[in-house]
Amino acid sequence: MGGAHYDFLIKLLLIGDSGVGKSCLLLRFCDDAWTPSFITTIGGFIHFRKIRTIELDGKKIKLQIWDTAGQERFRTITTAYYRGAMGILLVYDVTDEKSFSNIRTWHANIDQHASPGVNKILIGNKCDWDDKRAVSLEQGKALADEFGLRFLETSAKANEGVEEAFFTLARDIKTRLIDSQPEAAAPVSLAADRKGVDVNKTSSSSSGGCC
Amino acid sequence: MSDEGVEGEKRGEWMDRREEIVRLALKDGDLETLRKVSSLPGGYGSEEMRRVVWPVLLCVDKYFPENTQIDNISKERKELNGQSQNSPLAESHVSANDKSDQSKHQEKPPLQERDGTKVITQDGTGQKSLINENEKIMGGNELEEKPLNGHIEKSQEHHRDEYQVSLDTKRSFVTYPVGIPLEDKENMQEDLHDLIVGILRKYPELSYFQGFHDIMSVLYLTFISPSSRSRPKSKIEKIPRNSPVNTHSSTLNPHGNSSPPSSDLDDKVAEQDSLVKLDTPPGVGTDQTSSLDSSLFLSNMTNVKGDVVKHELEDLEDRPPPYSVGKKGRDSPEWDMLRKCAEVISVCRVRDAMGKGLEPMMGMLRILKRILYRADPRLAKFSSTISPVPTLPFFALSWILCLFSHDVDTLEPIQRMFDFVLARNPISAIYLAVAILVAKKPQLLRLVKSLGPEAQSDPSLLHPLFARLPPLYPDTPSHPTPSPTLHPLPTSSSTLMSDPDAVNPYEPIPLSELFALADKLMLQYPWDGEDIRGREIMGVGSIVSTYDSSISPQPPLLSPESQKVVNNNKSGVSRVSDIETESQKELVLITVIAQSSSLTEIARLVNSNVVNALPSEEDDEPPLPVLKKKRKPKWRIHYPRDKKGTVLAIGVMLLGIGVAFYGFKAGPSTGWGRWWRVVLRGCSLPRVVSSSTLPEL
Repeated sequence: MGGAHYDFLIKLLLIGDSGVGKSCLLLRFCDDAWTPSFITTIGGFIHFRKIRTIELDGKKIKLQIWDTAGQERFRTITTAYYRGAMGILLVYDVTDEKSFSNIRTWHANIDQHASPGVNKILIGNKCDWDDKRAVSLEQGKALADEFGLRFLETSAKANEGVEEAFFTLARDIKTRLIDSQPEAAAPVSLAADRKGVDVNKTSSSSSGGCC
Repeated sequence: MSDEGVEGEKRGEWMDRREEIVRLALKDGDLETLRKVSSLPGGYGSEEMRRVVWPVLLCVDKYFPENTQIDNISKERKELNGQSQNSPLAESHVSANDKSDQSKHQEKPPLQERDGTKVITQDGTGQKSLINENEKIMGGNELEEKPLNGHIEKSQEHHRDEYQVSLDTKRSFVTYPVGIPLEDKENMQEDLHDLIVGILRKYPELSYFQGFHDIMSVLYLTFISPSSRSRPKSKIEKIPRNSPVNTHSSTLNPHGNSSPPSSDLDDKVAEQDSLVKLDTPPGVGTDQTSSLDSSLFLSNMTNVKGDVVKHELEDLEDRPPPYSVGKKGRDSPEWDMLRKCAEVISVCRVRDAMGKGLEPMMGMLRILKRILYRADPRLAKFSSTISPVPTLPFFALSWILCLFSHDVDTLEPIQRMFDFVLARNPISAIYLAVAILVAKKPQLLRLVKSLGPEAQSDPSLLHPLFARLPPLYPDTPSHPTPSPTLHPLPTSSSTLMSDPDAVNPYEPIPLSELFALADKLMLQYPWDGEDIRGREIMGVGSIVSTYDSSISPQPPLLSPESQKVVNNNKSGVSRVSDIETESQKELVLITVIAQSSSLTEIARLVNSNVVNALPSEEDDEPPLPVLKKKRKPKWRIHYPRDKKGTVLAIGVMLLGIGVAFYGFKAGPSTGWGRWWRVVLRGCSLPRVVSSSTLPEL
């Protein structure tokens, strides 16, 4: 039933301060929906681990996106999930300068915990909220340049730039991991270095061993 | 129609009987019966009953004594304060105020915060809060104690996590209750915000964690009746949540946000900042145009004694405070009980989660894993494959962190789960989590199977399946099973992978089944028994260790050893011969503090000896817990094999006896050959039969 509905599987991770709109970005991208009242993500990955299949250059790419909790105390857990990610979306809120300055910490976290060479993109969310803007487009660009990241401003609410952000990142990952390895068999799952477990296997107790 | 009538009658009947039992148990202080009832179908019966039972389960009277002997309390406090002088815990400890401070406090509620529209004080002005009452009892009789101005004033200060609270409470009451008007919801969110902020300010040692608001929302919905939740908007002085704290400047607002590089560092910065602010003349602070500056300044003014402050206080005296009375409806007995229960739960039942970090929760997850390995080794092994970090069942983190309140979709089941957990040691939440996993396993495996090879090649895809709670059906004696129409099942499990939120893929499980299973597991594998060895993980300061003390009505007499520590501390003498090590001394002190009836004292245990064995670096290669290497083979290979072997041996023996018996009975003339053929066919060993007997035939 699962099978090859897609050619490649790419795992993405959303990180950033609490309340910057990570879950909203995810909901917009996967369900094209937005809600003003959203529940808090706790520990992460529970309610908002979403999947969307997109098409790039004729290839079907399945994006598996992991949402995380923003509160500092959960960071030890969220960083554990970095390694499996092929791409990371670093999200801040353009109306919240603190969330922007914390990007440095998040970036340092990626350096420390993610696999080397992981693709990243910096995202300034809530860009529709002009009268409350605290971080300018230029500041965002400057930071992205400093870290050598791609950069986009988005609004999950107004549906601006969200598609572009995910597609840009997915394309970069495809270029890095898939196009450079033409022999890679599909579907690839580069993060799954753990053996699958056959849960259906019934215990074959040796019942025939008589006398 | 007539059926419904009968149903209603039945329901009434069992509820009446249940309430009778509960009332009797309450009268006798029979905790064991209350425990048993909590896990029965129907639980405590009614909402009203629950509102009576929860405070008893939480021993609210112990912590908020209204008529108890003051002598005992002050004596106890004397001991505790005396001993804590040399305590490693004493750092942040500040004892109650002396009488003059107390009366001043009563008369002039210190100023909290102000940004033009908003003033927050700790207590109602002139209105009697029972929390106040308690403080009066606790503090007002300590004439001989040195006044340490700290505590009450300290509790008035902004808590470092308030911004996070406002972020989360704005996102509260989303899944339940349903169908409330937006305006009412905003009122409720505001109530919840103020409730939580009040607790944090009163117990500044506690840190807020995301999900705490979910726990508090269950309490709120239980204690505050719907009619009290809505208020006419115009009469409310709305506290602009997060406006002053939600600043964009990290330098000005050290408390404000959720992600500083280090919380320790942040606290230090906060302290320094406070000091700087204190040195600033009032004029400078208020002249600043930034509302943040003035709010920060004013929040620290509680430590400043001077005319300016007094003036400010008088000026703002009549403004409504957060948390305690002041707002319309918040001076009701309902609110009073809500606050008391919320405080006891925070300090005595979820304290471990409110420390500096998540390490205690990692410890709990380790215990969960150990129990799961006992209860269902195969499931335990399977579950360990789905997390990126194979050591711990992270999918269950929000369950145990929020006591399931974050993951349940409706109110009634979560109230029933609170019935269960509040009646027991907080460790019961872990057993309940294991029971849920075990109970949903058949469904889980079926769903996994239907997902096909994709899920098997990448087990991390199964995370949502594990993390998703099945619908938990609050069964009652009259409605033991859910009606099938209530929970339509998804037609295809493939939607599950693409959208785990869409429909709950599981069939409902009756809660009393889960409770019974959890109780059984608790009995079979006690957390501190030799199988689970929980005490090597959780320390003496953990809620699971201090639970027994927290529910004992009278502080037990100190053991001679403890008494020695107390005496030594009192006299300031620390003799190595009596107390072997500092750490030992600390352990005894923790035990003593845990017996206190002062929540303020107990809250200080939040970061003391909560978890012993920190889970080994989750980020590294699979450092499997001792359990996995040491224990698993013992259990999983030897024991079951022996068991099967024994059964097989007994079977063979019985068969032999049977054959011999009938053979003998039939006598030698009937012929052994025929008997053996019958026996062989009976054993369904066709190969043996065909190879050995057919040629003969």
